[in-house]
Amino acid sequence: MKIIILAQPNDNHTSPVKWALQQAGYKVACWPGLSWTEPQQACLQVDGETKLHLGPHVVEPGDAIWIRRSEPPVLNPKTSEADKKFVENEYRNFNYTVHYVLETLPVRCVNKYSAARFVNNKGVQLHLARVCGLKIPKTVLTNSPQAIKGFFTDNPNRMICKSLTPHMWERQSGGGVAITETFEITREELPRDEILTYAPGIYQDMVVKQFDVRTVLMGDRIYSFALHNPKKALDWRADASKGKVDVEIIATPPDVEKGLLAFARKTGACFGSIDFAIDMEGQWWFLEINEQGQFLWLDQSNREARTLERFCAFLTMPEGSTQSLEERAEMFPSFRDFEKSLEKEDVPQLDVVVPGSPFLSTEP
Amino acid sequence: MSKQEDNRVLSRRGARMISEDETTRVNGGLHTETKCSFDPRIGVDGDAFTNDCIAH
Repeated sequence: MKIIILAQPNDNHTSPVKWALQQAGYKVACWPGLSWTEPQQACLQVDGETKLHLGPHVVEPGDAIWIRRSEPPVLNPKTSEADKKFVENEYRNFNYTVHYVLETLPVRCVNKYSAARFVNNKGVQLHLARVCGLKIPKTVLTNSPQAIKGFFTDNPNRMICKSLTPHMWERQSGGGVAITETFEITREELPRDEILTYAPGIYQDMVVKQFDVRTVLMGDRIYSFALHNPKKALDWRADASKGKVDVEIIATPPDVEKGLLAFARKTGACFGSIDFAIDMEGQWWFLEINEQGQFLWLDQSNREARTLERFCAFLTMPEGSTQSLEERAEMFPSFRDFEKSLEKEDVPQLDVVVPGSPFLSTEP
Repeated sequence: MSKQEDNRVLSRRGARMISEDETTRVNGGLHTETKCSFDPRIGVDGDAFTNDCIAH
């Protein structure tokens, strides 16, 4: 058995997981995604048996595939301008083939590509979370000014707005970078109707919260962590990036756990990071799931979180194994061990920003 | 907000300005300072599929 991680080897989660798996004796390969260059070419042979090659790696029965962050296809720069649209479509289609065919092979995918694509829809998440018995804030996703204004008019609660996808705007003049974030908004602050049609958005009741919770789903195991942010920020992530959030291990209420496991079954996702807001009465409100959400920072903030060891145990769990995740986790080194190993090595950094990213705009 | 900026999407109006230092942290980096979710290279916390896009 080997583990193939679809990501650059120096991705911030790939690197520690790969290292920890290798320390425990596992064979690990990284494949960043489809490209015209030889190490990133792919080949699917369908004959007496089906064989998939990802660059130099052959996908074999029993392998585990972690679809962490496969990169978009890269075209050969020498492609004729006249062929570019055709080539883009061909690469896009073949890229889907590579990802979808994985889940038809006798390998374990974390997550299956179809499940990942499905669950990453914010509207689908909220709907299915509600169907599965989780509490969700009253929400409207829309590009209709009438619907937005109606939602605000009939609602006495404080409201927030957030985008469906994150984005950054970088000022050409070096005037800084703006990043999308959840923000509170009132009916009076809504812009004119036409602006509201420029982009759909998510409009939601604001949960007046005691604290946030990040929950990590690994198969049928659920680990929850309370995030205590002294500033009580609406969006804790900025403060977390500065180390200003305390992480406390907490129990998941049984009804929330039951709802989340039902949600996982319905969506097909076996792994993900889920955000909850805990209100003043202690009720858990489902906000969203990121199926490849970051989790290792929990280990950095609280050494007892042990998500690295648990994730490695989960990823390598043999089919039908009765061994517990906790027991298997003992096989793997901790995130602290990884950090110590880094102190001895000179590890390359990722590029800060790649021009042309679909999530980065430049503005005057 | 200037007249030109008055024509921007609502999410841009609600966006938060971040420092260069913070940009580095949220852009992903091996040393796992990245606790925010945003990685503009390819996607964000796994909740966006740039596989639909093509890198040029």
